[in-house]
Amino acid sequence: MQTSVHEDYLEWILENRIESLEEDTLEFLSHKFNRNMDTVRNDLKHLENTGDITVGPGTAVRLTEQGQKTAKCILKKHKVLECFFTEMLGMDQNTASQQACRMEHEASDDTISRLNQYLSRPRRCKQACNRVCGPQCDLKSLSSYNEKETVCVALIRGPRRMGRLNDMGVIPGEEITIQRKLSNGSLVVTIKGSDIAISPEIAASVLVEPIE
Amino acid sequence: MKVGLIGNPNVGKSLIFTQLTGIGVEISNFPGTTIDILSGGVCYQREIVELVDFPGIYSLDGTSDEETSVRRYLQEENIDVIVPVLNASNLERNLYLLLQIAEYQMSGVVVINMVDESEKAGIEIDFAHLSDIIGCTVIAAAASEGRNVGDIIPCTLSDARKMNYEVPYMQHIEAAIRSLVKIHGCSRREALDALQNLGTDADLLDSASTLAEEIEEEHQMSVHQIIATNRHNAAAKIADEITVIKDHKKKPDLDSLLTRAFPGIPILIILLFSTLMTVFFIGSFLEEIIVELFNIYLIAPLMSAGLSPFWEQILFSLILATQAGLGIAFPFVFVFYILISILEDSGYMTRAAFLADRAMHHVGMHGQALIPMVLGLGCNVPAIMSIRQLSKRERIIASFLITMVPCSARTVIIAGIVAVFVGVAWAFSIYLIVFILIIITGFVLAKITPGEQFGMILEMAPLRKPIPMQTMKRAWLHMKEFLFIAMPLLLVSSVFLGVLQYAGTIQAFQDIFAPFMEAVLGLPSYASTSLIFGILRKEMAFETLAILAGTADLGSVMTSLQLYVFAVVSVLFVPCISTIAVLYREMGWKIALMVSTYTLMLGMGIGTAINLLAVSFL
Repeated sequence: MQTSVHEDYLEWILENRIESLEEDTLEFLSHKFNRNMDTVRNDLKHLENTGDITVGPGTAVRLTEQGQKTAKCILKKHKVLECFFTEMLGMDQNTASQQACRMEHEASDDTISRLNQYLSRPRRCKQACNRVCGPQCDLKSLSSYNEKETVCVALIRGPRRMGRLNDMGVIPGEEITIQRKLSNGSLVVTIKGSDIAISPEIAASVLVEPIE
Repeated sequence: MKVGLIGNPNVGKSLIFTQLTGIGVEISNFPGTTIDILSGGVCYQREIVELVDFPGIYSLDGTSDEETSVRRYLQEENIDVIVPVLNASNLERNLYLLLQIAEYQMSGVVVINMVDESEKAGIEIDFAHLSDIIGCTVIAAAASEGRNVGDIIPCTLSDARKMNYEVPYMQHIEAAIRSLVKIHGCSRREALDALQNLGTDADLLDSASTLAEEIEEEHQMSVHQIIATNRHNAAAKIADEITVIKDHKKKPDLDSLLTRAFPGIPILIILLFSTLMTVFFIGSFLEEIIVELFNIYLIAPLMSAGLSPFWEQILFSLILATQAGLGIAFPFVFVFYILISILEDSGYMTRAAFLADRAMHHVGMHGQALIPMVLGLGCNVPAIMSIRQLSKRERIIASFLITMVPCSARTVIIAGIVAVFVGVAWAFSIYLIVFILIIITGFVLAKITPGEQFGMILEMAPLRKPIPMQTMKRAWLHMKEFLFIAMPLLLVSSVFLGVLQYAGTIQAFQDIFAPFMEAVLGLPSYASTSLIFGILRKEMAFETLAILAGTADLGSVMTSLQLYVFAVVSVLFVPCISTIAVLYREMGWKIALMVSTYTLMLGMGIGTAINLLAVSFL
């Protein structure tokens, strides 16, 4: 069995949270990977032998620690590549996914981590933030938080325009506490020890993440 | 020797300035800009020290008018010693500016002000350690108590040392600085400015922009943002090293009342309304006394002196103008400014700006423009002068709206003509008309004025109990603008009109416009002359009307409708000549002309509409 198929099995188990191998699951697999049912059974046996999955009791199946690691790694590669194809190259979701499926097995870890770094830069993947490609998955504008909440500045949209905000201390990594929020969206925030009133449209351009 | 006071807004610079210079303060304009940089002389041990007070700024690399003018002054004028003033209770943010000043590598003495407040808040500051880090003397002062303020000048003379702190910037910025310094032979500070596209050397800016682009591409942040972040981090580190917060005392939280929609907005309305009522009652009481004094001791003797008609006319105009100026200035304007200064000093004004922010957006401005609009209720002249802090687009809109705000002189017309002869409710209806027109005008201007609308970023001044002396000084400062800018204009133009009247030009003018006034506005012919006098000073329209009508009992010579129309027209149409002059000075002739034309049309239009409607329906 090729490594790519081997990895695809593991990735599939992880992604779909498969916990047992019923007959119809096997049928689905044979269809998906274009292999007959016997080959699929053999493949799974092989996976068990290499110590990537454990089968039983009964039809139960789960990834071993080693299998989990391989699967996660492949899944990440898949998503990073897919993100790159859709967000940067503008490919459609399906083609991107198919291409990613093939390339994920060949791309080295280093390539993927560099690609990921490239993608995680703020301006590069605006819509993708809620997908997988960046570490900043929880960015919301300052105006979406409420009174007495403390948040951490992640980035400020609209570069150059916001010189005054920067000078006041609204810089990435800085903590802001919302002191007052009027129903019309005007805010008073405490930053670096002083209270600053800001208009709603300015608050909307400051992206923040919650502090755990 | 020249010493410059520099610092964030609201750190007590101006207080230190007034304490050091005493009454010898002069307002001087820094050439080429419209932002006032105050300077005054201090004499210490037979040496004259010129003290310069810069407007409060947050940064030296910003692009606002204040920041630009301070930067230019620092680069072009020779300041011998720079005195950064810091607020002890908010050191970290204040250090940010200090670190930028240190980059200019000038001799300096650092003043940490308001130590009384920081002591109360339980903040302990290691001044000696800060002095080691920055490399110059640090004075701990409390200007409101006068503590250690006296040490500042001796220290600048004997103990000013070069500030030598360098902010450690991120490696790419440092590399860019190194290469710019090497290629162009500029200073570190010039290289930093150039990276942020500031400065005048085209070659330097050119290579800096290439480097800046690379850095921005690499980091996905603007260079200004990176530099600001590095400076803030350095400031935070220093603040951390030199301050110990001993016990954190909670202050009573008045803001929970003041900045909430309820009861904040009712409080705002009540405060403004009671301010206006107080001004009106105290003002009209004092005005009567002043006008009477003028009549008895100046006008009566002049009339009986038997001068030649020409000189009599000139002197009469002059006295009339002074009388009008003082009659309005002291009773109405000064009382108003005292009350407003109390609100400003207590820190309430920033809260009002915050509450009004969203509403002001509808008329194309933001919360900060509330203060000039409120000042306009006193006198339009200082109000127009205080719009400098707004953006260009907002300044244009504010020019129109402020000139429409009924100032105290117009209040005199409304009160003197309408409230007395027509009825109090009718007087209020004029305010309502003006108010609605201001909103409509603002609404339209917000749509058509070019430029981008910026939101407000305003530091809330801490709530303080106003100190009477300081409040009076601030009120006097507003008052001085009025006295030294509006009054001279008033006197000159008054004499000019006097000459015109003597030469018969006004009569000719009246002959041309009288038919129009009669037909469209339904006013007697002498009303047009009064309206022309209204351009000079608004309340003169009222006084002239009384003189020309030959009786102070206007109700006996004009109908209620005529009086009402007259009041509406004179309140709305053409701002007074001092306002036009200040508009010209601040905004250029184009805006001044547009505002005057617009208000002229508006006044005539509304007056005509009211007259025609009333005539056809009543």
